[in-house]
Amino acid sequence: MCLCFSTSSLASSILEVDFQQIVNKSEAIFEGEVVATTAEMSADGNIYTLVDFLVLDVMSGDLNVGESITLRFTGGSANGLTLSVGSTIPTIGEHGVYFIESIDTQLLNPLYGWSQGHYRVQPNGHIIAGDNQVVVGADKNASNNATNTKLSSGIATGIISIPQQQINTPPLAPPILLDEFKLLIKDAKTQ
Amino acid sequence: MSKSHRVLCSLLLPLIFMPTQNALSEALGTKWPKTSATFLTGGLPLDGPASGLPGDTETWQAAASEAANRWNDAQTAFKLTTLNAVGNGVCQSFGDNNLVFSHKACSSDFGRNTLAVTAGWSQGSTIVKADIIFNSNKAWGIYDGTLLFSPEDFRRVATHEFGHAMGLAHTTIESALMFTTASNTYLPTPDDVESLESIYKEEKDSGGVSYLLLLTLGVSGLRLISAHKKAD
Repeated sequence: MCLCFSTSSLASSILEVDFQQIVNKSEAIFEGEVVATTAEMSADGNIYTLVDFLVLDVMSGDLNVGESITLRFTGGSANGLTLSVGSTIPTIGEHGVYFIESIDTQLLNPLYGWSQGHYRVQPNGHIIAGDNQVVVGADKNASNNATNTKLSSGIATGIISIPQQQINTPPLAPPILLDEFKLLIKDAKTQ
Repeated sequence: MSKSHRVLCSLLLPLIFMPTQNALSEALGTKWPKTSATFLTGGLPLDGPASGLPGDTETWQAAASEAANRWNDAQTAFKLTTLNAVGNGVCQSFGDNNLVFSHKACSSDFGRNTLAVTAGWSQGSTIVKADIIFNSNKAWGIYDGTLLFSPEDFRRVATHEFGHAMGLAHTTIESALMFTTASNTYLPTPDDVESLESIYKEEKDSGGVSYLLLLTLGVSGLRLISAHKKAD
């Protein structure tokens, strides 16, 4: 059986972070919806994709519900060319929870730990992590306690996910819903 | 489901979904039109690390060449060549394929968790160019064997990034070089080699001429197109 998966950060070496880190070191955490994306080749010859989010809820940081924010991702397609640095760039209509490393600094990927700070919300409320699996829990006490280098596999240490085909298969835990995920974030934030 | 039940289930999951040991790396979906690519290492410093480790006697450029040769020595379907020359077009869609140290990549900051990036340009599914950019804000050394938390091993990360640059994604085989977790593995494993074979076998069997090029030649007669490629 091949458990190959498609994740972001495939082309780059990103250090693995843990759930506590993405909660406590992100400059802002919000629930949002992508309302527009624009990819363009800049004067410096790079391709950037500007992603406009409508902020639906704020878990932390200096953001306001109802406002629109734009995050810049390096990469995208323009003028017949595609530049990839391994980021998964949010697409129009995507509903998600986003952990922003920095709002003002232009980063290759503005999300903390790249896909480790990127969670898509499905219409049924299930959360899809950066490893394309369904989130069933989060252990705020899990630490990567690294004694050696760990590269990201697309999901932060402590986030527990299962393949989408396996949901609601006992004894596996059922998927958590958006509100539960937000509670876990708030809980971890207070630690 | 009760909270305790959920926690118990969560603890069991890693055991239930332990990756099997026969999975190949997934291809990134893009590949070079030929089975070879040349990278210029002149953008790396002339000296080597000062980490206090035995590898300090080696230069960055030599380590980059060794990283490429570790793939070549594994007799893969793809040939990497490194030249000690300064290239142009880092992070541009044109120019050479480069390896460089920089405190920024493609005019952006790396962020605190990024060690290295392979910036790959493609047209359709064909890689046209690639640059491997190492985060100079991190501490680097050159060493084999047990991986240290700091400094990072430049040669091991370079070998891993070369894998991406050739078109390989990560694998679920923990012992493989292309596994997501950098480990004590510093040489391509059979899984890594097989994965490359799966991407480039057609080209290898046809003497390095891709079907795309054959099609192009067929359509445009004797027009010769030379393409320079790479990405990930």
